[in-house]
Amino acid sequence: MPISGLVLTLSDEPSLQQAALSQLALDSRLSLGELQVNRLPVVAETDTIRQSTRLVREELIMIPGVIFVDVVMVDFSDTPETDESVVEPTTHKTHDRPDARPPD
Amino acid sequence: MDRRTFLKASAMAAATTAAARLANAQSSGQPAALPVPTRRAGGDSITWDKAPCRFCGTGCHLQVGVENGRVVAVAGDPLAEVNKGLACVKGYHVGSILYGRDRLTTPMLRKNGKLTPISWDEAINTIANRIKDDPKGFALYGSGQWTIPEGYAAQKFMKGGLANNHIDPNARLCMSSAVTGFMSTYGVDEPAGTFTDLDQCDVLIMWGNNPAEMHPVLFSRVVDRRARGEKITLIDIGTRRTRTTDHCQHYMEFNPNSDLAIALGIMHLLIKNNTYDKEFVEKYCNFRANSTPPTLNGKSITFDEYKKSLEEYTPERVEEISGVSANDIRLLGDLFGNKDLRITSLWCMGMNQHTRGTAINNLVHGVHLLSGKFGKPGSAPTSLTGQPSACGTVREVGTLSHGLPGGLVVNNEAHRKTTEEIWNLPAGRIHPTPGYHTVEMWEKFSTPQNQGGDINTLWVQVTNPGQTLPNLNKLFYPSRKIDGKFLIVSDVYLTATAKHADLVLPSAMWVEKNGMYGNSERRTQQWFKRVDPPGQARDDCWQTIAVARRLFELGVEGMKDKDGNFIFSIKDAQGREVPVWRWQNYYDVNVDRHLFEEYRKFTGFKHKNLAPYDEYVKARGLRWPVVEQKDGSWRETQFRFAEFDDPFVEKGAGIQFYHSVTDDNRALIWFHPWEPAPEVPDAEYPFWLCTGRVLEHWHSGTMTMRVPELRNAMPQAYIEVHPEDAHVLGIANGEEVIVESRRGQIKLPVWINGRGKPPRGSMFVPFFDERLLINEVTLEAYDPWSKQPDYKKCAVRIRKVATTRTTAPKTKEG
Repeated sequence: MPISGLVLTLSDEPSLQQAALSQLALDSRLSLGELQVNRLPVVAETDTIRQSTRLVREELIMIPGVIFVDVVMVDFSDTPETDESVVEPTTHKTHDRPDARPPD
Repeated sequence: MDRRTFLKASAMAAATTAAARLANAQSSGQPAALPVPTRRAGGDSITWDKAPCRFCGTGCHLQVGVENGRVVAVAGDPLAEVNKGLACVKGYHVGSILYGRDRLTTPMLRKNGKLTPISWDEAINTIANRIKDDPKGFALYGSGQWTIPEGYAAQKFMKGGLANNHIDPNARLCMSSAVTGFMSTYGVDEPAGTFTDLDQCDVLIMWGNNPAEMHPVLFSRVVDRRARGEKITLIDIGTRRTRTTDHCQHYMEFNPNSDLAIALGIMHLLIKNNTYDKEFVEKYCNFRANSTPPTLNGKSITFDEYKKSLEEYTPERVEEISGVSANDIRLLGDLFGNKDLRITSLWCMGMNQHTRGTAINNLVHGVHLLSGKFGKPGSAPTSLTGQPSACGTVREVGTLSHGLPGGLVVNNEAHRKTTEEIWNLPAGRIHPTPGYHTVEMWEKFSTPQNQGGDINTLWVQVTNPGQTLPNLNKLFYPSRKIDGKFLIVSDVYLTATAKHADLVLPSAMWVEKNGMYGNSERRTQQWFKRVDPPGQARDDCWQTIAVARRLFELGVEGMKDKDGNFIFSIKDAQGREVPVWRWQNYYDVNVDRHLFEEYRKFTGFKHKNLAPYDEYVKARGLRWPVVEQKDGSWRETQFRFAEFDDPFVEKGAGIQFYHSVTDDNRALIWFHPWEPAPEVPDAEYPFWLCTGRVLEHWHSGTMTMRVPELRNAMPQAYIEVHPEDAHVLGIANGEEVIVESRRGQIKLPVWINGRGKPPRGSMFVPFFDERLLINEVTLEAYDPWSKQPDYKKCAVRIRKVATTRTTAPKTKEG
């Protein structure tokens, strides 16, 4: 279960900022710290790395009033293996290279 | 408190301190409020220590958490001035690059066409025997990802040991035009300014540069200033809209290769409007133009000759050449002509990967010198690097084919003599002729011996030329079919290069070894080994020393100094030689410290002075020149050549270019005419192709494509096409096309209105995907001075190949 320490930059516009704070407070994956001017410290906790990625990279920035997401710490000490090898693309391959053969 | 609660509390503490710092705009050098993660109490066994990030040239410092011999956490280092506790999307996933399932763990030799595990002994013997049998036919291709001690050892092994200058790094492909630009302007390499200028400039101009994606933490320093209410004008001069453009007040889109005309247009206006800094120019500058035959030093010209050369570059003429409006050219001229503004220019591959790379570097320096936007905090022409130690290992250690450590060069007798003295070599050991530069080296390797291909054994360390060389069909693949050509690759994964190798050596990486890097702002950084490498993977530096030792044992004279001792003889505190060529003894001493202290002896010759190793252990990097103070402390330098900060500038001089080409403490303002690119679109190949990088992946993707978060975010390469071009060609988003040049072709999915937005007639493909090698298409033409190829422009055509719609990159942008 990865844990991320984040800093969210919120809008300076009071109603947008408040709306963002309200929406963030409803998300059970997040613990909110004390707002510093327009910077909000947040801890995000998810079940999987994939969820963490989606949350940090896609969901938070989509919330109206969230301007920017900085990540300052990631702990993946008790997550399962994170490694995956490079796999062939599913839809296409490079063209044949007639002169690219392993040497004897 | 249970472990999980503790981890969350730590994450909140890190976030809170970073938020406070960002919100209150605390300047660097005030780290006291920010706690650094330390060895944790309460049974938690994670230990933390600093290390610079493994990726770009920004040089962010991280805190790396290790538990049970494994990296388990990464945090931005709040003590680091560069990144102030932050990291980018790549940086905070950097720990995962160590743990791809397919890490190389044993040496492998190709036998009967198949890579077969062998012992380290056999691997080292194989290399040593090939070198012994054909020392002149051996070349070493290195990297701006080499640590400083690794590069220094390779340099000494080749130039001092084998008397062979065929050593060149991949940095030839990314920043050698910056080197020749600095050398021919100031007489010495590397920027005068630092990242501190980004915190103080009024105007930031990005010349063909996309720091929002390529140097994101650096760019966030600028964006933060605006978020805090500071006024800063951002100008993007580019050939395609990027994420950087989104943050800029002005976007000036120019026709490929016409950036020279823009710079000339600014110079024209500065003189025509009489807004150039007459006092600065008269006191500190000379003028230069191309000579016949051309040389890097050119010929001296007068101010009047220079002025006359610029006459034709009126705003209207520049608009005609570049496509940038005359009004925008006037805007740039007015900004540079405004004495009250502090202006910083940033550039990276856009200006460097250019057949006129040296020339455009000269011209941008010239714009700053002519306008006096130099020598004051916030006013600097500053090049960035893409690799973590392109400056430290390549430019400072001098691992280019003409270089020696500390800015010395092989074709200077006095420099060779000095080097031989420091290395305790017999006089005359170092060869006076520069070796092959990168393109030449690979061309020779891909040419049969009986046709002049005199490089027969090529050892690649810490880089991936099978993906990153231009025109792979000419420079890389042919060697794989020629008898007698032997490719050795030291790497961590079976890369696009390693899979074609004859011998593969498994390497340790990043915090699996001690290391030192030098970032883009002259900042030298140090870290200690934190975890063991997997299997039999070993340090690249050890590999070099082990081969050198085997050659010593085989009686190769060059491996001895003039007293008959091994050239890498390292002694312990008691004066006993430590057999560091044996892996089991390699970490009995700190080899990095020994090599670095020897290397330090070179660094004063060109005023690139470094502090002792132990000073770097304490610091989050120090920017050279670093000089000792009366109280025994060591002071770094933010701005070279300026009296207010540079300790080597004479009192009362103001500005002093103390390595001046003209030996009179003056810099050179060059005139270079605009010329068209060597290959331009035509009826057969009607589109421009530009290649480059993306936020999520670092260079050839060897590391970042093995981090699931990054790979999921940007899963494969693509081609960006303008919607109107796509409409004319009948291509929809996600459809596959064949991209074809005169040199090769590949299939790619089309991305219309994607992250980057090229103009009509122009396309962009990133090079990170080893399955989709755009460098089978690119052109190997290079700048005549820097020998750096141009990956940013060649002519291509595209055609649709599938009737069924396939996959467009599934990223956040859709």
